[in-house]
Amino acid sequence: MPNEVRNLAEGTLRWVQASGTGGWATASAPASGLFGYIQGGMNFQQPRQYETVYNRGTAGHFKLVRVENGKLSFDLLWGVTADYPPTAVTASGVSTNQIHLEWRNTAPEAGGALYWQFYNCVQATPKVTENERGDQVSFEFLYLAHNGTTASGYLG
Amino acid sequence: MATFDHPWGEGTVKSSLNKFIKDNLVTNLPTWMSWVSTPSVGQARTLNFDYPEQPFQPPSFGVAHLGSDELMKFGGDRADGTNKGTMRFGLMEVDCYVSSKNNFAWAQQLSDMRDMVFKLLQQNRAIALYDFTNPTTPVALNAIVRTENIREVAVQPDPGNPALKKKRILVRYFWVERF
Repeated sequence: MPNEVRNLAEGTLRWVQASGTGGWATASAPASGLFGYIQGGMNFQQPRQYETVYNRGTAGHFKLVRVENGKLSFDLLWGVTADYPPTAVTASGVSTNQIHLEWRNTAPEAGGALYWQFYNCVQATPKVTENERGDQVSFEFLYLAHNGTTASGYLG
Repeated sequence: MATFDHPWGEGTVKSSLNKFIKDNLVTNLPTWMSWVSTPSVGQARTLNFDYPEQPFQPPSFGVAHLGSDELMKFGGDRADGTNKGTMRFGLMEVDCYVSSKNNFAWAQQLSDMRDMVFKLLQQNRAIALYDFTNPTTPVALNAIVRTENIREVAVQPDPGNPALKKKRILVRYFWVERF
């Protein structure tokens, strides 16, 4: 059976403190949490740079020459600071605060969930905007790699 | 199945707003308005809720709620790290009534009543929510409903009651309904 389309109300975003670099590794009993009050519009992208190789002056094939770091952005309404990732804890084995992010979409028609994982995220450009219906905190994470869609998650 | 219990719904918000208005209007009334704290059966009230079928005698206020709608969804329906929830908005109507019969001051009185409502609701943008599961002993929920967009709207004269003068105020409010 095909899955239904997913939507905003089905996608929760969890984080866990990372350890080391290059994959989903965590220290024992790492800090973790679940973002609340996330507004619609979360997005991520990871640019890939291809070079065109020519054959006798005509485009012949592509070569993947660079995979940039990814960027994941979302806004939420400021309310539950206890659920934000720690900004004063350096991840083990690296020189920056790092977390892994996991985006879990429930798939009730399939009796399970679908996941995306984002490895070794650092927070760039913290931004807060006052607003009548809730002050807005904008998160922008840079990540090294992502994995998805997959049917198994780490954070539940 | 457990007994139905939902202290975060529209009923809670309506009751909490009504409680706030009742508690605070009493202490703000001018001398030409009287407040009867425990009206006897059939006695007119200074403040009425939800268009009651009971003796009506101006000057008086009337409060009614016109329903609510969804304002904002959140990712995963997560209101915070623990609860699910959605932001909803509702509309409250506050009416002011005076009689112009043998009352040369009616226009000033009606204007004062309108200003009382505006001042009260603009001074208090965040109003505490109470769980009214037990109506005689409401319990604070440590949450709030916020008022916004308080405005007066036009009222058509009532040809059947030409001496009854009315101002109609609409107040929008929003809160997070947790579930």
